[in-house]
Amino acid sequence: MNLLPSREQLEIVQAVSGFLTDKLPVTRYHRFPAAQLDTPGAALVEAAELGLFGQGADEADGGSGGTLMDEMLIFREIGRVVGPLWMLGGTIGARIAAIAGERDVLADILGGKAAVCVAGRAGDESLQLFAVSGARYAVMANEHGALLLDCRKLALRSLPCIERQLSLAESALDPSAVVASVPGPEVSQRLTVLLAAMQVGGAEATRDMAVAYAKLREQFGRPIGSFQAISHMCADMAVRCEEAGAQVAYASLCANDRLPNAAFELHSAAALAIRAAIENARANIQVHGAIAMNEAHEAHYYVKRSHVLETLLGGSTHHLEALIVAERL
Amino acid sequence: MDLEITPEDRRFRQEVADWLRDNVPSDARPPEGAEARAFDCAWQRKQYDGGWAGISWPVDHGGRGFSAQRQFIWHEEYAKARAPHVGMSYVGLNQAGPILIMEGDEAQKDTHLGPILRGDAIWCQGFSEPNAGSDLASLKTKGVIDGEHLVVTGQKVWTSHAHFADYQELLVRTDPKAAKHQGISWVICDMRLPGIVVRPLELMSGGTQFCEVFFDEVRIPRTQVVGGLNEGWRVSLTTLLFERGTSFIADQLELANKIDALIQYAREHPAPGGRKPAYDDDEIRRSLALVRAEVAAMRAMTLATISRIEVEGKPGPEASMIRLYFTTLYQRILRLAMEILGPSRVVMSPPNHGFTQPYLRQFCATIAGGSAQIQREIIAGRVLGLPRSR
Repeated sequence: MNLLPSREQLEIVQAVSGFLTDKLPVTRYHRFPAAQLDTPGAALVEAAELGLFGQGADEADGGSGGTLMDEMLIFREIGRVVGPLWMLGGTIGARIAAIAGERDVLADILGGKAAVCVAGRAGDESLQLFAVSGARYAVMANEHGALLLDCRKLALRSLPCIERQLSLAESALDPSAVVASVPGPEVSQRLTVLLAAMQVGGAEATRDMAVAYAKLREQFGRPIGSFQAISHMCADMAVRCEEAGAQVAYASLCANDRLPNAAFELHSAAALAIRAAIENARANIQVHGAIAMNEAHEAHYYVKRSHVLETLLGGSTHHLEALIVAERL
Repeated sequence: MDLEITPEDRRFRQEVADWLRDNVPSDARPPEGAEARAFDCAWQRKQYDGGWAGISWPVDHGGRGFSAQRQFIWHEEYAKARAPHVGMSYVGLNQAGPILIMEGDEAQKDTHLGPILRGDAIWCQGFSEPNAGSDLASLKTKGVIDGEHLVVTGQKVWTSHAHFADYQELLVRTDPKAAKHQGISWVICDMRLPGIVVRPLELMSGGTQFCEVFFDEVRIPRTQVVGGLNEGWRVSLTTLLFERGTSFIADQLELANKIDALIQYAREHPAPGGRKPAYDDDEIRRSLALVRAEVAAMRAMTLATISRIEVEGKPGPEASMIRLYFTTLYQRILRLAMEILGPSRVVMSPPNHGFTQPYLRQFCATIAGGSAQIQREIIAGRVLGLPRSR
């Protein structure tokens, strides 16, 4: 038993992290004119060349044959930079296409020819689609199964997202849009792990931002990090990262091994990751003070993204209600 | 990253489970007093005779020398078997013993390690003083060197089980002129020496398990100094390090049982002011779910720490967070219990049973062994590298 990443896993993480900080840092949003939405563009092909979408896919399907833990570590890095949601869509889309045997769709996704957005339920009949601009397909999953949808066959209605650069649309769930459908909880569990991992990445990034700023910013003639009102807030941020990070890592192992307690661990991971990301993003703004209220500062992206991911995870209440009746070890 | 369990570890787990099933005392542990001492010593003796004493101690010193992972397995099975709390054996097994192993001379080790393992000697901790709590290094109890003796005068306080202890790990100021961290010595104090007066204090939760200890020119042979004269601060930091490591895993795992008991209670009893079971109240049920998730996360954090000890030889930054997490979580759970109990919340439960007495008792969780505020200071300073507050 070992909860720590191996040397190989750390190398993968480093490669992905290098790509993200180079090509897709959180500050990328600063360059966007007011009305511009984030679309996959050139980065989609570069991410595909990096093998991002096939990291957890079998080698026979054109993937890298990695584990769910590898993907969990990668998506933590993506969460750290408020990374594009088409990265998540592509990874899950490739999984569904591979299981369903849709070879052409799989090749298009792995090759970066087709972008995939991520959908969640907004009500009984309606969907919310995130990163829908420029996406060919959409994925959605729950404990009963997962769907790959053709975006061109959905009647999309655009909505302004709280994360302004993120394209958001609503649509009815039209059965004619279903490209592939796979039964069972496997894809949903994978999606939960990756969403929760992104939340952990966000919580870690905001912890680091707050700590760095608390060392730098001076008031009353000394760094604000020397005040216990600030430093203890930072300590609590660090504890939330360890709490959610350890639980998400452990849950990814249980899901990967299909253990009977996987559902309990995953629901626990999701509930705690949601809390860690939201509370840390909020605390980060408080530590920064008024400067973080600026659109030109990146702190607010983490608040907004934490709520987007909260929504895609189905909300805390859902996970709390599920975990209290789930089987623990 | 993997959850692989070796066949050896699986066999080990079975062996532990079998032994505990056959040997865990059927009687409940008496909450305090001479009966508690007798119970704790007998249980320790039984573990010793079964070959299970000193699971974390090196084999050379009579222990089992288990890896961190096997210690975790032991504690997990221990909690599952509902084996008794370590009680008065705690300080000897988890602090004094390990310190003597690391810092003691041969005579000190020969005299004390065996009796601790066999349940023949109970130790207490003489660290805190009326004016030295979080600022422990400001302690004033003095040890004046007089030939081959230290003459100790002063007062210790919050000393658990002092009135039933044979020995005390005692911090005294042996060099009043040195800087405050540098004039302290760690001394083995025989509690039967003349000049020691122990006065039990009643706790807010009832019972008299902790004490004031007064020293009036108590003559302790210099041979009882451990780790060198004026080296006590360094020696005691080793103790604290141990205390923040893996020594309270069993308590953590016990929390999971506590929550299941609380969930069961909520299913069987009506919500405060209502007719339906407390469990059917959305807010109560979700609060129970949240603490259940938090206990799961604490287990995952502990597994991460154990992984780091196995891979890197020492615990990582998360180890300093687990204690803060555990103690605050324990209090949240008992606070939630008070919510669920309704009018029964004013009925005192027997010591260490039910919820109301533990609720009162656990106020000490965020005070003893470094308060929650001190734990946050440690995380902010040593883990996050934030500037010191003074």
